[in-house]
Amino acid sequence: MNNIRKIIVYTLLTIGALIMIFPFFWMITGSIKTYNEIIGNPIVWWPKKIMWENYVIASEYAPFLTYFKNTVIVSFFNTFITLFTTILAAFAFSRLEFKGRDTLFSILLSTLMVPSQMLIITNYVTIVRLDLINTLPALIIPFTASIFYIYMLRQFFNQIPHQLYLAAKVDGCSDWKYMWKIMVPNAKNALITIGLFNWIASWNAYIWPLLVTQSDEKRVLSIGLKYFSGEAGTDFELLMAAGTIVILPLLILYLFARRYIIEGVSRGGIKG
Amino acid sequence: MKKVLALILALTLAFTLAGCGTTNDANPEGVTLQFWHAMSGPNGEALDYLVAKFNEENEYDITIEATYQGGYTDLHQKIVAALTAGETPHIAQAYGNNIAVYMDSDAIVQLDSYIDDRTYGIDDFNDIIEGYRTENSSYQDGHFYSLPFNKSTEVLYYNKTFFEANNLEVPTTWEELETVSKAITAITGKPAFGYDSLSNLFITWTQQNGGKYTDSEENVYFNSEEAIEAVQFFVDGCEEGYFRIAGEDRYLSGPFNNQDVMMFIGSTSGSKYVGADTFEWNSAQVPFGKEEKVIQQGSNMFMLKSTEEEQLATFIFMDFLTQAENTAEWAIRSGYLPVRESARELDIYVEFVASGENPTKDTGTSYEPDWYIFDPIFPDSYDYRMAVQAAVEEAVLGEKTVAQAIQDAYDSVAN
Amino acid sequence: MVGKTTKKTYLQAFLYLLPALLIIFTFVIYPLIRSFYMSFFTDYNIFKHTGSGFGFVSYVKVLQSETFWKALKNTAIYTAVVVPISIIISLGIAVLLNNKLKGMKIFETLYFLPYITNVIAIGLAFRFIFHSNYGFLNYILTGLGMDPVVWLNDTKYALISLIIFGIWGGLAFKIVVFLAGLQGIDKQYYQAAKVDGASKWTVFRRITLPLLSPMIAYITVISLIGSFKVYVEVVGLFGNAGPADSAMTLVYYIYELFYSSYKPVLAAAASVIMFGIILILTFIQLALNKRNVHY
Repeated sequence: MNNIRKIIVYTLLTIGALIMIFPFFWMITGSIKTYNEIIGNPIVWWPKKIMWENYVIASEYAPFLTYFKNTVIVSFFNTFITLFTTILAAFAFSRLEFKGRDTLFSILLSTLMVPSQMLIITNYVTIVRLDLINTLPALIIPFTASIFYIYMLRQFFNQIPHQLYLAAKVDGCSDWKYMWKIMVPNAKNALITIGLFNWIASWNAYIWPLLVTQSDEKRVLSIGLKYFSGEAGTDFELLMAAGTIVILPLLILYLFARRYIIEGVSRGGIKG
Repeated sequence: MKKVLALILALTLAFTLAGCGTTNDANPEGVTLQFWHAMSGPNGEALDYLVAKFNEENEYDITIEATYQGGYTDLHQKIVAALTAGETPHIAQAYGNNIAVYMDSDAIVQLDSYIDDRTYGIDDFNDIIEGYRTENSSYQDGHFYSLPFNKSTEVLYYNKTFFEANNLEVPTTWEELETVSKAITAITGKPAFGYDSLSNLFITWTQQNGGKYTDSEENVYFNSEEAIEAVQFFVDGCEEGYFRIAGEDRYLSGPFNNQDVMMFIGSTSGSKYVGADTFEWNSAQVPFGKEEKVIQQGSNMFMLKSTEEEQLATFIFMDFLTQAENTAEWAIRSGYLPVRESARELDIYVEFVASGENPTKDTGTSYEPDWYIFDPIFPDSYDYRMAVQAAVEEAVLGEKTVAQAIQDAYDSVAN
Repeated sequence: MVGKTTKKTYLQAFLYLLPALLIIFTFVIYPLIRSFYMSFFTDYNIFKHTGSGFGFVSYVKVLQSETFWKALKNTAIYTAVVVPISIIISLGIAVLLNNKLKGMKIFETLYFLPYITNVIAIGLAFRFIFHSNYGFLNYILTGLGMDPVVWLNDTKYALISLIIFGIWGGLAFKIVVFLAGLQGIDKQYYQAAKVDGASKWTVFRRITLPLLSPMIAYITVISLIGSFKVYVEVVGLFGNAGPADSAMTLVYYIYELFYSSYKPVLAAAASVIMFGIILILTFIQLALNKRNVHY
């Protein structure tokens, strides 16, 4: 790539990056400011004194360690069970031929078209009936399948040549084996991406966890963040501190996962 | 002899039953109760303190488990879900109009018989602030379905340093508010005064001007000259630049702390966000119009159906919270006000006020009982409030004339 | 083409789909049906699950509500602007990122940060950016000699502010998906094109876009549906529905109806109407996609 091109690319990317990370920067600097510095006008870019106390005070608002443990458990099971259901369903929609396949897919797609706010009361009652109120499974189970990810994976699966499948079947390869030995490795990019998104969504979810948990032993990090907002206002400086801690693991996870997506598989031709 | 004995027995029985009121005969011993609330941070700690105190001191071995369930909206959502599922806590916290909504479940317990109970009832019930008693019985059948818990009111926050430096008098009437605001704006070039809650502005100033808002029968009165005048007063000030709304700043405490505005009317529960190192602030009673009226706000506690024993135990806890000493501690440690008149005279409260740590604790309790107004409790009262809030907002933003905005608000609810 | 669908094929497909179907049916389809059912009553006691007055009354009421139409208009404008613009921008960024220059990994991480940042922190940051007196945007505008805009307090600009916020927020996800798609494209195609001496633009048009089309198709559909449901962004930016409700959206309207105004039947009816609109739009989008997607 010639130099002018390089400069243009780097410049554009840098401007874009600055715009994208600004709220993140705001959150980090906010976590070490005082309340008045955060809402200060004119803008206070850097605090007069670095308020590390914010982190200490914030950590005492709620049992964050317990919340952390629960969040890891919930995110883990949620992600891996979802990957399982998603792979199976995407395989069915992409490789298996049966009448009514596309109609079923459309029906499932339509489940995305309703606001979740209308569904949670009924789901709450379902959880009560299943005797799962205030348990970690209640936080996991409802989210272990979603057409949102099935659709994404189906698109990736569809790009793997159908001939491969037909040839394998002629060779006597079972669907199950084909799915795990050929489809999955070839869609590693997509799977890691889906896993990552799912993990993050699970990590940050708070509406449902708040609804179905009633005691601290079962709660998750995102609920801890709610403690900083009240009827009369929000303790921004504490919220920023807690918020920073909460997303650090996500950042690490992302860096870890990204390595695998970049080193992604180069799809070769038809393999034997 | 037997006849005399029988007569004495009969008479004694008659006196016991008819004379001094009834008592609940359930046994509340050893019960564990669930309390769902929305108090976090210092407010949460204050509540935990009282709960611990109760658990330790109560003679019936009752244990309260109080758990934070999110903010008011989250808590409201949870209670709705719990009622729908049929599995509820014993006691919870909510705004009156939300409790009115919950009544549809038939799971909200009427409190009159508990309040009047000979053994467990609330002593000196009339010591509880009149406005709170009226509000908590202003449900559509006139009975008590809740008791006051975390109450607040509005006060005028002002920049004491600025006022003293410029020889300004704290306004006590609308006229004085206008005069002093114009004077301040002339000095600073920015709006001098703001009102956080536009719905409160409408409701309070209309009634301060002699008008009416609504009542328990859902009648709408606010389409009146008094209301138009009140809102126009504010709109004129905004147009001329000496009044303002919170707008994008959400709460005026922000601009106030930055000294972008020198006075604002806000809730006493927001006092912890007010103040900066650069100046000293103080609070005063809100300015009054033709009449002295001020809003009372905050949520209440209510009881949900369970067993006789658990309900009685729940009430014993509710009674505990309303006792003078406890409500005083609550007011000292949290952002709220005591629910009893006598609590203000207790030593601990007097000392706390004298320390000057939070002027609003004094100002907030200095209003006369008959000055308090509140939203009558019925499910649609939220819509009424939103309608008048929209009216003020639209008028201030210049979308409609004051008269038109109020007319539209009236039309939207007076169906 | 494999042979006719046999019972065996159905059974097999059923087994593969079972886990997902079980979850989706229990936690989405079932509550959806209940919710839709509720919409056909005049009154419904959600606590006792009883209703009275079967009919379309609630639909009429919703369709007569000025707020509903305002919410619909705002939502439609929002979707129509945010979806195409955010897709174009994120596609452009993904292409920019998909090169061999040094430091791309760092950039990718930076572009992904908004996705994990706390939503209230984001709201705070944007309140600052949009502030009429001290905000960053106005700082730039006045620096360029233009008049400052009252972004969040003015009914004329509230929706625009929401749109800008929405575009920004939707980029991270799309960039990652497009990037994953781009990096899955076999290098052989590009090598062959290089040998043929094709220009960068031709390569993009003839190779990259078609090979990326499945992902673009997916993103357009998902984006359309997601934007129509915009709600969290409104609360994050304004705390309410904007000055004089000028940023009111459909889901905000539904949420208010259900939880604040306590009119569950109206909320349910509005949900059904919204569902219908999104359904029609999605089918149109899917039809358009069918013509352009190459697997």
